[in-house]
Amino acid sequence: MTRTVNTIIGEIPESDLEFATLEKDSGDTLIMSREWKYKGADPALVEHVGQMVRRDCWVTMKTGISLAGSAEL
Amino acid sequence: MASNTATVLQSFRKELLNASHAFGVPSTGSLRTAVRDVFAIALFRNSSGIGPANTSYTQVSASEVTSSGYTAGGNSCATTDPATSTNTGYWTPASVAAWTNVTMTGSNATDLALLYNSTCTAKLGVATFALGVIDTGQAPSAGTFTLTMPTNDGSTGLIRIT
Repeated sequence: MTRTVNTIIGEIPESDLEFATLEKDSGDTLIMSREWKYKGADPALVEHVGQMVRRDCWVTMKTGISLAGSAEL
Repeated sequence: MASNTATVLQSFRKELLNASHAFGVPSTGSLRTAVRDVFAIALFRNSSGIGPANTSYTQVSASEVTSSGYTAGGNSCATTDPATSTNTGYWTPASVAAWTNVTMTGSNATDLALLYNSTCTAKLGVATFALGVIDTGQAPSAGTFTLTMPTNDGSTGLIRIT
């Protein structure tokens, strides 16, 4: 059974897509995104070949925030 | 439009002293009923000017992102209890559900998450967190947006009182 992926041009077989994963460390957060491009041969979608048709985002908080103060009262 | 700011809301410090929030179950004999509040995380558009002087989700809701797959008010945080490590009290939600099949692109991109108390009528705010680089933010497209919490300890917990 062919697995499909939701994209801006509809449900596309995963085999018709390629993706690249980007990672960036922004200090307190680690950012990852996965961009999916269409590479299929469907004549109805030929205009989308090479286009980014889906982007997933992950934000990992490495540290939260502190209400800092003195530990000695 | 002004940039957003990641910060503890000024009002949160006062509301803590007013016992307006219960991150865990209040101690027996305290004024509050022995029920924890529910906290939620909502996402906001880049350059909404949200910062330390804001007080609640309600006050800033007009700047919230909109998308299929995203419900106004954001997602509730999974329950966890506050803990202490020497002189530091800390609290981190166990998790926040991912948003699936969302599109937040262009002027709808998001660079700020607001943690707020969704149990109280006033939807009092706690703190805001940057989602990567402020003014750039995240722009999922027909995709999944996942927010992962930091390690729940006295050094990295989401909210720490030292």
